[in-house]
Amino acid sequence: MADPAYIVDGVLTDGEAWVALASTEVTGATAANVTLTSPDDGSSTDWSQFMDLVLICYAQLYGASYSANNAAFGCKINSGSSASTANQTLMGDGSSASANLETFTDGRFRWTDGAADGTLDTEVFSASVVQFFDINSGKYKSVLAQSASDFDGAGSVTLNGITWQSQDPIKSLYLYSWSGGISGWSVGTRFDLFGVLPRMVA
Amino acid sequence: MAVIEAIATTYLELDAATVTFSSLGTYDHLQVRASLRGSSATVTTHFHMRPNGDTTGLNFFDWMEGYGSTDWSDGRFTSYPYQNLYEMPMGAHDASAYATWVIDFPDYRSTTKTTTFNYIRGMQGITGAYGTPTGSSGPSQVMMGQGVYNSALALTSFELLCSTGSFARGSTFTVYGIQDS
Repeated sequence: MADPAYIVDGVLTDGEAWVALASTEVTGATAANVTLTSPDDGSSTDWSQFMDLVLICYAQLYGASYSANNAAFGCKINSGSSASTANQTLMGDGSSASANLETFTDGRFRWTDGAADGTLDTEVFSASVVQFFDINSGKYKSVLAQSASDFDGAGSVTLNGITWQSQDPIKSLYLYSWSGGISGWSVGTRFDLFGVLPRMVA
Repeated sequence: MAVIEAIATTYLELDAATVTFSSLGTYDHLQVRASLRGSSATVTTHFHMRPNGDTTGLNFFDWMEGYGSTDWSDGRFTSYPYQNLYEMPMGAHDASAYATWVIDFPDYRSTTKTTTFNYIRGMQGITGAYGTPTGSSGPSQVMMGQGVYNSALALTSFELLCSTGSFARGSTFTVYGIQDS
């Protein structure tokens, strides 16, 4: 097993603070869901060594009979978790701003009304950055998500703040369609996950 | 030099009234990532910042917030002796609740431009009257904001403090330097 890049000849160093952990692009056929999981093996990509995670998404949902332009992107932290989530949304759609709070008891949240290939141009994808904080701490976990979507004549910009009310470490992210009538992530959808290290050497 | 390097991390093992970062290196841009909680048992606690430790009233700021079903746009706050980056959980909230910030300072070493930063913030629910919260089950908060330190001096340090009390044990701050080449 290779040492993490911050250990050089057995000595702890501070190198690149962002470490590429996973890159997934949907190819060939739509994917019903995408799961990103810590290898839990002590390797250079084991999530247990990182302070934060940053997920960069360029995504679209697909449903052959889906008639709307937009559908919500969903995430479950540590699938099977029974932790509550509180998700605060602030959204602007070009003509007005709105806010909404929603809560769930199964660890899930949604972070945007993103592009969906129902009546939309198939080349339009939504851009979002989702940040997970202090993922190995005993705190409740905080998530901030910024999103931008165009719906071919309309669009939205969204900021979500989520509290996952669990002290457990984050070990997996299950990414799926929140909206019904969707068969999955469109071909071309990609998710890139980075681990963020703190300063380690005084 | 790394493209993104952690310049310094402060993890509070005890409550602390202030945290100062004064060695900001020679990067092109800075990012601060923070997870914070206040020590006050009863009083709403805001996160304040003094660029270059300056208290002479050169700070201006605005923000927009989602709070339950309310969307607020507020400001402009002018000529303050500090930047106000708003609330963090305190004694009335769940003990495991911390608010989080990502704060970006582009071109922080410029000596011909003022220092403008932007940030995003999220925080668990809050109940009770503003100023004296009583619990955690109410509407959450999510915010985007900006601040201007109206000086062309390079940003060489910043002092972080609470509007009342101290940062609670467990609060963390990390400053990252971003290098363009």
